[in-house]
Amino acid sequence: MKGKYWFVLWVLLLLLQVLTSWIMRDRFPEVTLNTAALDADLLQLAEQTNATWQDWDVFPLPGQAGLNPRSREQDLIERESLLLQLKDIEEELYRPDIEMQVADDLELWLKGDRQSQSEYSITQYIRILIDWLQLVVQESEKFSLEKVSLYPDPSGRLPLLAFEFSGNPIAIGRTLLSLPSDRMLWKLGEMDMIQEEGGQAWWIRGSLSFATGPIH
Amino acid sequence: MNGLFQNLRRRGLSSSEQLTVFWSDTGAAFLRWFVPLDGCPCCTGFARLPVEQCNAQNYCQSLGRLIPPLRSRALSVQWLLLGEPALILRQANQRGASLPGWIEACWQGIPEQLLPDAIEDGIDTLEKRLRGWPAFSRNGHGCFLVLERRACFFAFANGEIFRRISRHGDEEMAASLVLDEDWMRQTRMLFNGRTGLDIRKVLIPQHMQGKLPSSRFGLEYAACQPKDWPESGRAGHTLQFLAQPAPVRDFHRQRLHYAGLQQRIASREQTSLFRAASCILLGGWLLLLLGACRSGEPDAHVQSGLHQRWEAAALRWEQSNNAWSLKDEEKKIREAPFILTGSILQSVPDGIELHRIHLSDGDGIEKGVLAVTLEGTSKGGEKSPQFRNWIRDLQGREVLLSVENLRFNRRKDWIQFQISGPGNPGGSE
Repeated sequence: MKGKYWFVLWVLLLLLQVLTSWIMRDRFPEVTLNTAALDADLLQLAEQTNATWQDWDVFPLPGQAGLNPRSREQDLIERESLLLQLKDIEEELYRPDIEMQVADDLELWLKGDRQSQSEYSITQYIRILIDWLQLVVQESEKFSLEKVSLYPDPSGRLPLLAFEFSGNPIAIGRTLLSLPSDRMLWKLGEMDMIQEEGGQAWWIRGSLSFATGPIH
Repeated sequence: MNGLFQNLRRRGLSSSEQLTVFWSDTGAAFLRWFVPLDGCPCCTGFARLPVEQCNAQNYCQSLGRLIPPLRSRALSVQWLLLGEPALILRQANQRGASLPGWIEACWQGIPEQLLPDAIEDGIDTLEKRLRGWPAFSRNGHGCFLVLERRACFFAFANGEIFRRISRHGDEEMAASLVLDEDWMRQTRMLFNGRTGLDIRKVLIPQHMQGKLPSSRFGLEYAACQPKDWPESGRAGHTLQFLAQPAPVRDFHRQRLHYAGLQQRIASREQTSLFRAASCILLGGWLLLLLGACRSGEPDAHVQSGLHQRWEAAALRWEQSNNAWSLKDEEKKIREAPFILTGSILQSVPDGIELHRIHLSDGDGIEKGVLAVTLEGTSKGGEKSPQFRNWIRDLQGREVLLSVENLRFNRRKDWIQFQISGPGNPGGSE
C-alpha cells in the first residue's frame, strides 16, 4: 500500500513539474525576445552617446532650441554690449570708399517693428553678424569690401544682410565658406557677379538672410 | 548500556553501528554492535527471543527495545540463519522442504521496513571467517564453539573445512560450555574416516577458558584469541564474531533466497526508490517555482526598467540623429550657391569669357534649385566646339539642370551669349 501511495505522489509531482515548466515557458516569452536591447553595457553606451550629443549644443532636444533661460534684462545688456562690439568692427573696417552702415541700420530696425522677434533671436543674430564681419576683416587682403548694410526683410524676419565685394570670386567664396558650421547660418537670397571691364576682378553684390530653422 | 552509548557518542561512531538478527531452531537472537576504528567489535545490545515467543509482534518489540524508534532507519539490519533453517532454505528447491512454521509466520508478519536487505547463511559465513584465521587453517587443526545452544566443531583438512554440530539431545554440553570427551572421540573418528587425517589440536576461544578438557589420546587443547575476536565474554559473544565484516578481501557471505521475503524486500526497495524520486521531484519543483517567482516578479520589473531606459535612449538618439541630418542638410543648402558659382567659374574653357553670373532663389523654383543666368562672350561663335562642350559639360555634371533661355548677340568674329536655367547646387564641381 505504501509503495502505491509513493508511486501516486511521484506521478503527481512529475505532472506538477511538467505543468509548471509549461506555464513558465508561456509566461515570459517577451522577456527573452529582445536580449540585445536589454544588454546593460549596450544601454550604458547608448546613454553616454546621447549625453555627449546633448553636451554639444548643435543637437538640442526638440523644444529646447532657442530656449532662453535668462531674463530679458540680461538679453538687453548683452545686446547693447554686442552693438558696441559691432560699432568697433565698423570703425576698424572704415575707409572713405566703403559704405558701411550695419550698426545704424540695426538700431533703426530695433526701433521699428520687430515682428515679435524674441530677444534671444536678436542677440543670436547680432552675434552671428559680428562673426561674419570679423571674418571679412580678417580676410580683407584677399578682396575688398565695398558695401555692407542691413535692410528689412519683406517677409518680416530678421533684417537681410546686403553686401558688395570686389576681387577674386573664388577667394570670396572660400572665405565665406570657411565659417564654422554652427556660425554658417546665412542663406544666400540673391547674388549678382559682374566682371569689371578689362580686368580679372569681379564686382559681387548679394544678400543673405538669417535663418536658424529648417531652410526651404 | 548507557555507558556504552556514552562511549559511542564520545567516539562519534554511532553511524557505524549495525544490527544482526540470528535465526536458528532455538529462536531469534538480536545483536547490536559496532567496530571501532582501533579494535575488536563491541556489542552495544543483545536480546533473545525463544521459539515459543517468536512472532512478529515480539520481534518488533525486541527490536524496538534495542533501537530507539528514530534511529531505526539509520541502522542497517542483517539476518543470519544458523543450523537447520539455513540448511532447509539452501536445499528447499531440491527437497521441497519448508521452513518451520513459527519462522514463516513470524517473517510474514514483520513490517517491510524492518526486513533485511539479504538473508545469509551463518554457518557458511563462520566457516569462511575461520578460513582466514591462520592458527586454524592447518591440517588436523579444529575449533570448538558453542553457537545458539549447539556445540559446533570445525576441522581443517587439505583446504576444506569439516563441521559437526550437536543434536537436540546434546544441549547439555552446549549449555555447560564443556567439550564432552566421548563426543570429541566420535568426531575424531568421523574426521579420520573422511579425510585420513587425525585431529591434533583443538582451539577453544578464551571465553571458555578454565573449562578446557584434559589433553588425552595425543589431542591438544589450546585456548585461543583470534585477532578480531571480541574481548568480553558476554552473551552473544560468538555471534559477534560471526556478525562482523570479514577481514578477507574476497569474502562473500552465502546468500539465501526465500521467495516470500524476496518479493517484499523488492517491494520495499521500490517504495524507497519512489520515495527518494518523489523527494527529488518535490525539491526540483520547489526550486523551479522559486526560480519562476524570482525571475517572474522582480526580474520582470528590472527588465521593464531596462526596457524603458532603452526606449528613452533610442528615442533620444533618433532625435539627435534627425537633428544632425537636418543641420547637415541645411549646411549643404547654405554652402550650395557658393559651390555652384565656383563650379561654373572653374569650368570656363579657353575662348569663352564670362562677364556676369546671377543667382537667385526666386519663386516657382523647387527646393534646393537656384535660377542661374550666365552672360559672356564666345570667340568661335555658337557652333564652336568649346562652347558646345562647355554647355554639355555643365549639363552632364548636372550643374545646369537645363538650358531654358539661350540668347546670342552676334558681333564680327565673336558672339555675346546669355544662358538662363535652373542650377543644381548639389552638382559636382
